[in-house]
Amino acid sequence: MTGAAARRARPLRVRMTIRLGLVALLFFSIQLLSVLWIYVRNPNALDELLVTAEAGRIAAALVAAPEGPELADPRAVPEPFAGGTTRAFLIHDSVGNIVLRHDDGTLRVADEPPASFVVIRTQREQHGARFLLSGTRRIALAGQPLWIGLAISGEGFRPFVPVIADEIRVHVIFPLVLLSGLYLLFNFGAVRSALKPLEAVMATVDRIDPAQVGQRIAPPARPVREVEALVASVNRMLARIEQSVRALQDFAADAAHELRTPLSIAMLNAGALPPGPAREALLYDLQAMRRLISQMLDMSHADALEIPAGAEADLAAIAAGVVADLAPLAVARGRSIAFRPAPGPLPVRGHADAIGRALRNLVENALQHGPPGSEVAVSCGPGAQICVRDSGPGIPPERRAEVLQRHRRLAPGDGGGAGLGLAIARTIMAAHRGRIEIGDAPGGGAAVRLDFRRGGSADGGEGSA
Amino acid sequence: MRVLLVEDSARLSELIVAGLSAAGFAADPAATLAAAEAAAEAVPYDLILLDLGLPDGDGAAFMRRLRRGGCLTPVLMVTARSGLDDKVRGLDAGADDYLVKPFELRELLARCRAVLRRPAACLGPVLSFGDIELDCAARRVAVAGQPVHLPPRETDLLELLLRRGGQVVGKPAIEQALYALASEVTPNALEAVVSRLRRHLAQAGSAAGLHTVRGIGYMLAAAERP
Repeated sequence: MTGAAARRARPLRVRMTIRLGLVALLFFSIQLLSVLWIYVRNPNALDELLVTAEAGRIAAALVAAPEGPELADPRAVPEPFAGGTTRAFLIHDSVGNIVLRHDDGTLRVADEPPASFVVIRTQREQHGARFLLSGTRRIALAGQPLWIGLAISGEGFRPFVPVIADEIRVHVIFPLVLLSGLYLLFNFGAVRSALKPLEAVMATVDRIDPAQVGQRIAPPARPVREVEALVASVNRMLARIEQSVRALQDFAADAAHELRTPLSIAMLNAGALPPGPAREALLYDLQAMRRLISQMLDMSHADALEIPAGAEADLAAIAAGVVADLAPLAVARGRSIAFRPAPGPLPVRGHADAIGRALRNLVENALQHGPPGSEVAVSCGPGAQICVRDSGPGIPPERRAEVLQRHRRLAPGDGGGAGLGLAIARTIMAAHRGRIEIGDAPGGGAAVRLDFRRGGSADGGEGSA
Repeated sequence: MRVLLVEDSARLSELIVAGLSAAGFAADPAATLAAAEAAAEAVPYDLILLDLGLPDGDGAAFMRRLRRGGCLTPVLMVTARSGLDDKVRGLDAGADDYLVKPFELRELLARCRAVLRRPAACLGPVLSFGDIELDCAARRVAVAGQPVHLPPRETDLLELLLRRGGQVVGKPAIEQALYALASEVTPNALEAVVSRLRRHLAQAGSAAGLHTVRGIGYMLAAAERP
């Protein structure tokens, strides 16, 4: 497997092209062999071809002159087509006159004109190893028929090799190259268009957000059975993943839930201890554990959050409620909370309890980060937004994205909580199509803003039914 | 004060009963709804502490039955359920308050007292929070047992804050209660009353503090934890 992985994966197009090339090569070899076989079994066909080729070569050298056809260059009689042969020819016109003749040594063609209906005539005489081919071919030059009489004398099979080569070139190689080229071109396009829906599927798979385990891939716009099967199978895989993620989430939530009663018992037991630093330390740790459990549950509720259609919440009322709820905690920790209300209600499309929890986590964080005696300021507006400012050390810009992730804390061991507060707020905001923004408070410290103005605000008129 | 505790965890139930008894409540534990129903019919309780997930049914259904039967006994839900809207559902079902487990005993006691202090509960005439006591009928205030003289308006404010001791009381609610029939309320009038009450309490040496929650209201808080 490792060896295969190390090899660079070739695109399907190249793979198919190579395979098609190999098939074409195989086909070519078979055809070559069968052509050779046919001609070797049928020497008369070769004779005909050789005579035709010679006649063609002579005809190509002729030009029409006013006195009748003549060689384009009288000094250059075309060489015999087949090497190792002697060749003589004689050209008659339609009335039987000899237009041109060429003897080759002792080899000459008889003078008598052929019958005018003759188009093709071929004849073979064998004298031991030597052969003598004689034949007639009718050609046309400037609209006038001419008869070329030929005599070719040679020995053995060698003179026929160029004829066969020619035959193979014209009837095997040319069509095969043309056909293969067209096939390859078609293959290229076919593979590309066949893979296009696959690429769309890959792009969708890449876009899947690990936080949204309920996501599925939409089937391709142009239904292709294979791609549909792939989509269905990926979706089945996603369903299984979702199932196990949900099982894990449920387990975490169930575990957190089940821990509540034993933790209550522990807290009551610790509270019954005689007053002293040990008791306070124990209670402090138990409080930290309590916050951790409630954050784990908040996270699981945030993950499962769905905003019912038409749900509306008033940010101003939510913020006032959260501040009032947390004021006793602030006082107990020697901090204070100030609330700067908006002039009126700030309606948004959303889940009031969930938004309250997002804000609650931000305020709890702020209370934790500000120094004793400091104030946490919660303000509403302008528009659908809530801002929480503290006077702690602030969050450096390069770590702002990171602290929004689960279980990330600025300082390790920074008391209480699982580092889930901002992640809970982020998840709840995402469900509302809102944003969470971390900035600097004017006098130092962090300013975290829950911004609902993108799409969540109902004060634009729509959805405020 | 007689309290019915409906809780199925024996260990937790035992600890809560002990804590309530130490705080001066007489608590009867019930581990099932059936037992709770029988007890509620037999005894006129002042307060019911109700767990929601019980072996023989849902606490909320029990509470709805109580309310339909005309029982006005305050109910404090003490539950492990903290899902979205669980609290709203609990309050809608007729609970007076909702406390999510786990909790410390002092929180539970504070909530119990807060529920009992509400006017609807027709609590006895003496309200107390920390070292402050107020005799509602006689309008007498004492800090750590020593009488303190307060003007009527400051006494009214103290009563409001005592009824919700440890929790924030909204400024509009205070203004409405204090100046119900007054024709005009200057913005600073309440602040002046608050600062006078704060001074009186400090002079009397109260450990409780009157805190301002800017933009929301005021709250009376016990001494800060060491």
